Amino acid sequence: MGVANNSTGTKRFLVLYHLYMQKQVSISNNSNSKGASIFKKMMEDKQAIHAHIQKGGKISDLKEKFNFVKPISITGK
Amino acid sequence: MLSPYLLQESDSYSYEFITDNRVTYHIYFLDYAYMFADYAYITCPIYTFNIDAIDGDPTTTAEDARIKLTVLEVFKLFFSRVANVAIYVCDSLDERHLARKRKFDAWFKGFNDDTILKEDGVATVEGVAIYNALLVHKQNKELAAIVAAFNDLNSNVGDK
Repeated sequence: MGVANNSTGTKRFLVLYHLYMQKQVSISNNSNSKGASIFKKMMEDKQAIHAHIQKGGKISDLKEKFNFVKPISITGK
Repeated sequence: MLSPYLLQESDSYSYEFITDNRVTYHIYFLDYAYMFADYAYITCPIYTFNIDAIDGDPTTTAEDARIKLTVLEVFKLFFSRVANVAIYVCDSLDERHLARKRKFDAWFKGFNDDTILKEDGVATVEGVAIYNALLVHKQNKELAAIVAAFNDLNSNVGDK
């Protein structure tokens, strides 16, 4: 019985230690890049456009919301 | 011999092609020159390159080499203007961002004739890694400044 209690205590300690370490890793990973807001906006724009066209929407519907450009000409003009 | 798919201008904002497996892709660019607003000495046009399957499921079809050739054709046209700068961000919404990065890396490897510099970046946003890449023509007069600014934006706050 005493051995079982000891084993349970060790397991509990290991679980708590694991959770503690996970929290520490999470905290250390929470730093932001200097351009975090820009990359976040890029990602949000990309996801919003993807969601729109997946629902059958057209890119032209979003022309006021996003700054679409055509930097290349495929007609050679 | 394989050839690129026919690229069409579906509207005033994007390009489109349809694969043999009936998957329709849209390619579009967004102007993000403001991204470098803090680096006023950079005056080049800066765009994000985006490709999206809008009809059909590309994950259920076999690898299609013609998609790569089509993307390479777009890059070729894009960099016919030396000043153009492209940034590619791998969408992390569905946890497939590493697969997207590998695919983009493979596309670029097939394209590069040593005229384009590719700089990889990993931005941290609220603890989440966002893989991204910068493509700049090596003849771009602002090459060094653009690469330095790009690396600066990817570096963590507090880093030197």
